[in-house]
Parts: sequence; C-alpha cells; structure tokens
Amino acid sequence: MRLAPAPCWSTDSGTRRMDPRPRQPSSPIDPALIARVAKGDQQAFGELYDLSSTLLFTLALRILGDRDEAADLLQEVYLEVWRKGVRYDVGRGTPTAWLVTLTRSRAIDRLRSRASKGYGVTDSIGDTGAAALPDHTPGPFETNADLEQRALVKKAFAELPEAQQQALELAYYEGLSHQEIASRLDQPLGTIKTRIKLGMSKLKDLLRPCWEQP
Amino acid sequence: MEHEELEEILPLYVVGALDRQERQALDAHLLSGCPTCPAALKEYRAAASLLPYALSPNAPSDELKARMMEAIRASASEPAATQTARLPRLGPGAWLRHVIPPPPSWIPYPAITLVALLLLAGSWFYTLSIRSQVTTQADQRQRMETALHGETARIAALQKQVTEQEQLLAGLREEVAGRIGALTDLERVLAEREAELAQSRQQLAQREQGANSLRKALAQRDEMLTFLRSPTVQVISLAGSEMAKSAGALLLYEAESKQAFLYAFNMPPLPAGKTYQLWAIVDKPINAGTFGTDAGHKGRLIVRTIPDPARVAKFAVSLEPEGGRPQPTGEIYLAGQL
Repeated sequence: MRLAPAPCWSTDSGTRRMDPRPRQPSSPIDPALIARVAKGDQQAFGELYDLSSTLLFTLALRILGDRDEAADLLQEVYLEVWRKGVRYDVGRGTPTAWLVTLTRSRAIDRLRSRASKGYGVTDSIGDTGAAALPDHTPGPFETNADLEQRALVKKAFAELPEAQQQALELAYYEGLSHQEIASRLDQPLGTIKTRIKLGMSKLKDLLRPCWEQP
Repeated sequence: MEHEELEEILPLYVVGALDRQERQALDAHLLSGCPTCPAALKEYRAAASLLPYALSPNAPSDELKARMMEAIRASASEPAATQTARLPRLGPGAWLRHVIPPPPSWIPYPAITLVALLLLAGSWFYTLSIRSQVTTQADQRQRMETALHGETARIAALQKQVTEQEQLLAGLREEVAGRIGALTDLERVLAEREAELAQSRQQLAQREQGANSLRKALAQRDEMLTFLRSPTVQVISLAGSEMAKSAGALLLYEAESKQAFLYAFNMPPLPAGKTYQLWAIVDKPINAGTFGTDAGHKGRLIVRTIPDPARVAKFAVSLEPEGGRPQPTGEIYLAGQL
C-alpha cells in the first residue's frame, strides 16, 4: 500500500470524537487526557492505557526481550504516570513521545541493572521474538491514524541503509553509547557517530509531517 | 565544546548514544539558552519517539489492564494516611479542588471540567512562559553579574590608579614646597649678594678713585723722570726765605720742551684759603702756576710753558689767596736763579 506523505492525521477526523481543540497531529493521545489522569480520573486512565499500551508494550518487549518483564515494566510505567501525570510538559513533545521516552528510559535502566547483576544480555530480538508475531495485528483500540503512522515510520526506517538502522537500534533499544556500538561492531567511532547522525537526520526529514501542523 | 559541536551531537543525544560527559555538556548548553538547539532537539526527539512505530506491534495481555485498573482503584481508595502522603504531588485539578471548595451540585459538572481544563491549559502555558522567562532572566542575571564583576574590577583598578595619582600628587606637592623653600633661600642669598655687590661697587669706585689719583701721581713721576733723564735739563735751586728757613725747592727745566718741574720740600703748612704761587721774574713777575703741599710738607708743580731760564732773572714762590693772583701780593717763601 502506498501512503501519501500527508500529515498523519489526515484520515482521522471521522474516527475520533468531536474535539474543538487543535490536537497534536502526531499523537492519538490528547494532552487533556493526561490532565484528567493527573487529576485522578480512572476512566481517563483506562482510555490512556487503551491508546498507548500496545506501542509501549512493543517497545518494552523489544528492549527487554521477555513478555513478563515487559508487562512488569509497563505496570511500573503506568503507575508512575497515574501518580506523576502532572509531570508531563506539553512544551517538550506529544503525550505519546513523553510515554515512549519514559518507557524506553525505564526499560534501559532495567536492562543495565540486569547486565550489572550478571544476567546475559540479549543482543537483538528483532528477528526472533517480535517479528515472529504476525504483522499488522492492531490492538482493539488502534485507530486508522495509528495504522497510518505505523506504516509511515516503518517505511521511513526501511529507507535507511542497514548500517544506519543497526547503529540506531543498538543505541535506542540496547542502550549502548557510541563507543560501545563502535567496539561491538568493530568500527571506528567516527563512523558510528556519522551513521547515527545521518540516520536521525533522514528520519527527522521524512517524519516531519507527523508533527508539523498542516 | 562549542555550539557547532553540540548541535552536531543532538541526534546522538535523542537515541541515548552519548557518554555521560557529552550528555552533561549538552544539557548545560541547552540550559544556557541557546537560541537554535532546543528547536532542533524537539524535532530529533519527536523523530526518535516515533521509532517504536517501526516495530511489529505486540499488545500486552488483557490481564495486564485488569491488574493495572485494580492497582489504581486500590491506590484511589487507600486510607487517608496514604492520601495525605500524596498531597504534595496533587495534580492541578486536585490541587484546584483543594484550594477552591467543590461547587454546589446545581452547577453542571461538564462546565466545571471545562473551566478546570481551561485553567489547567492556562497554567501550563503560564508555567512554560515562566520557565522561559526564568531561563532568560537567569541568563540576563548571569550576564549582568559578569558585567558587574568586570565593572567592579575596573573601579578597583581605577581607585588604585587614583590612590597612586594622589600619592604622586602628594609627593609633587612636597617637592614643590621644598622647591619654594629653596627658592626663598635663594632669594635671600641673592639679596645678600646684591648688597655685597653694591658694597663691592662702592669699594670699586673708591679704588678707582684711588687708582686715578695714583695714576695721576705716577704720571707726574713719569714726567719728573723724563725731566731727570733728559740730557738738556737744567736744575735751578730755590732756597727758603725768612718765612721758611728749612724749606727748599728744585726747579728742573727742559729746554727742548720748554717744560719745567718744581719740587718743594719742608714747606710750612698752608693756612686755610691760601695757596703757594710760582713766579718767573723777567721784567716783571709772570705767573707760573699754583700748588699745595702734601702730608710730608712737599709740593709739586709742572709748568707747561715757561720762559727760558737764561732770560729769567729770578724764580720765586709766594703765599697767595686761593686761586692765585696775576701779580704777587704775599710774602716770598722761596727764591733762586740759574
């Protein structure tokens, strides 16, 4: 399926409830929902969970490589949001970006503490665990917008040279620094830095429609 | 690290690939109020946060949601003690309810929610603007503090200079005072010297007078010597009369120049208003000039033109009133002939 590089929310208006506020186009989660959660609104919390849990669980599983541990981490993250939802800062990005960053950060922390406790570190599970599951299996609350966004990001990432993809994955999902990546791949440090810079620059350019107002 | 270097590593920052030192340097740079990096960072961060969408989706088990909802329900119905513990972290809405009591039930709940949401959004934007203001003000404050430090240092340096100049000035004043003192001394010395000079001038004048008289005397002696050396000089001796028995005189006559020189000795002191007068008596007495006497009772007279002694019957000296007379009127004191 070929996707137009139009703003990611172009097909969304019909599927969402009426909302007079201009929404962050890249996120299916309204900042107001976070505010409700922060006020202790359990219903809002349920909504937030439905909208974000698949993405966050996917991320946690990719980093930790274990469903139980990923579920455990997700519970920790959501309870933190429930207690500290007020910490969300609209100026720093969309609610989804905030949740992704929070989840990634907690998962990498676990990964590191596990490594320091002498557990084996799973290298890349991209081709085993996650990919073994059927593709395009939207969760019950995934919207068209989610699907469209997923396709766009996937396509953009696939456009990067493999070496850049690898460097980005090792940093983002394995929590490795540029030096660690360089020694892991037995490549000069400068090469690794350049791969990450080029990869991110291209992703930024390709994905800009997702956060720029139409 | 410079801005350019830090801007370069923003992509590495958002995927967590920086080492701790680089991360801290970049954090500090972002806090320092860089005008371009935060915007670039926001875009990179947005791109990075989309990365998980590229993964094949995996939904958690339904059981997880049930567990989670149970957990939050439990935390919501926790006893008051736990609620109290939550108080410092109240969300904006809860905080609002805490400050403003719940409204009466006749106000529709959605309206309250809308108001609360508006307030919340407002407070977010306010917080954001305050945060940026605080950052800007902190920057300004830092700049001003730096400037202030610079100015303080400059003032200290200027004060030091002023002190040095004052010391210099004091030194100069002292020197000037010293010079003035020396000048006063000099003036006094000058006055003394001027007085001495005046005295010296006076002495010099006196000396000159003395010298003049000496010169005059010397000239007379020279003339007398000339007379004495001349081979043609004739000496006429004059003897004292009854008026001056011990007195005598020599009249030297030089025929070539027709000049004569009279040298008288043991002359009686002249009474006041009187003078001796020499006469050459040919047919009748001819005035040959007047002369006085000195402390040694000696008298001298040079006669520029005198008649030939061969034609002169007698030379005589008489006492006459001062200034002399055309013809002798007083007593004869000396007389002689060739």
